Amino acid sequence: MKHVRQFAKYQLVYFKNSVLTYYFVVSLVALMFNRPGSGNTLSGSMVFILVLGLNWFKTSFRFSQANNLSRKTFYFATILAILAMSVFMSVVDVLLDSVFKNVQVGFFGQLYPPNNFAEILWSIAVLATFASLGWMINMMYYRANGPMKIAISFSPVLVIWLMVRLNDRIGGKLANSFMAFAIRAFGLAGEVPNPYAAIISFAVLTLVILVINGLLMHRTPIKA
Amino acid sequence: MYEIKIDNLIKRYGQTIALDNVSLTLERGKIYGLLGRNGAGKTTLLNLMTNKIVPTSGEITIAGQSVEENDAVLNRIYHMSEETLYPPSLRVREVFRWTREFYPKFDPDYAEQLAQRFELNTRKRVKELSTGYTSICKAILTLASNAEILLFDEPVLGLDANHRDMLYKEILANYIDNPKTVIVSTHLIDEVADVLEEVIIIKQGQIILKRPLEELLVSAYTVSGEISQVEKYIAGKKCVGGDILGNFKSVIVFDDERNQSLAKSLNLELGKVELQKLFIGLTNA
Repeated sequence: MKHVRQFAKYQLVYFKNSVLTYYFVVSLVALMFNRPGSGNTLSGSMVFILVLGLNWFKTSFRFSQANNLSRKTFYFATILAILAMSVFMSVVDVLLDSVFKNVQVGFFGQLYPPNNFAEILWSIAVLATFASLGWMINMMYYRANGPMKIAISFSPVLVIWLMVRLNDRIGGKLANSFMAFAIRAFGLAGEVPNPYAAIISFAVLTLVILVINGLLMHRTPIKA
Repeated sequence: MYEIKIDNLIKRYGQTIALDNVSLTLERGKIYGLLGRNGAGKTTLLNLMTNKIVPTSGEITIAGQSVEENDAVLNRIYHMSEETLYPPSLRVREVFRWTREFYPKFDPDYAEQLAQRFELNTRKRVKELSTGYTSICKAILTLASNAEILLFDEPVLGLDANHRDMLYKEILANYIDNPKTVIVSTHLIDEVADVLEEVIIIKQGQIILKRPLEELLVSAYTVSGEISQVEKYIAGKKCVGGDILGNFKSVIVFDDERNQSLAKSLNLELGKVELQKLFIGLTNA
């Protein structure tokens, strides 16, 4: 457990400069244009943490191996670091939005009634999902051989194409079902939208991704 | 007391067998030389000992506990791997600092002292180091880790003669100050011979020899002289290697007993064998 905490700390310190640079740029843009650049800070942070997730694995994993840490320790340390980073960025995003008095309503504001506590929890869940997704994509490429890498690259296009074809064949039922599911999952089904349903949905999605990452971590070798 | 036990270890990469049913017991407090030609399986064995890769079958235990995903056991080992696994953007002194987080017995003063002696600039980033200084950095981390088991995989890669000599002496001094199990994997055999207590020779994924160095060197000798006379002398004896130059032949004989009288009558010369020659003979056989 001690090594889990220490390695999570290492990962957070390793990404410290990138995060600081990101918020410096966001703040600079906000000061120059008197509002955060992308309308709300969270949307930028979602992209940023996805990129961070994509860069999370390889260098960190190699350093964990240099220090003879088990894969199990690396896995739990990475989860801890992702959660800590998501909490930190969510709080900073909400603070920046309030400091710069963001005139444009963000994702949360467009979907749910105002609630700062729920907004922070929602941001944490969203950012954790994006970071875990980045980590998963990176690990899939790391584990795959040459042809498999190509298959992974084309698989999203193929899946979307198949779903569109299937949807056309069954008279749009697939898209309708998907929309109905998404509305429920985001807590938008009732008269008053419920952000906590979305928080749980994102948390479950993060958990599923993390389980996949755990399976991908199993017996992962060191690669150049 | 602990020992490293390797039981029926097999590692396959597709159709290639990197390690073929290796069984070994390494005692505490000895300096082992893991010798083998390129691709013999030295690095694979060390990577398996530190859980960097997992075996196809078999097991490695330290003090009776498996190394697989076992942090407590893995923390007793520091592995200077052939590949540089440190983040390229970290400064050497930052690597020292982080290593201390994971190896509580890491001695930063000793590391700094060694860095000064080897003229390693600790303000440089890992990516800015030359091949030689990368090896020095990794060797310093290994020595200063104060782990109970130190594994050096090609520790002198890219080092000049002075630094190589300094490093061998430092490994020995570190061992004398604080006895531990040290495994040095290398193919620069002559240089490392003075440091080793026991030799393990690996060939095509199999351990072909494991003996104390002194015993090994006593158990073999060279016979040289005229070809036909040498042939007469070695008839029925276990021999390895052999150099022929014109009508002259030199062969390494594995036998504790030297037949001095026969050698004299055949006008042959018996001599001491060098570890490197013995290694070449054994791995070419």
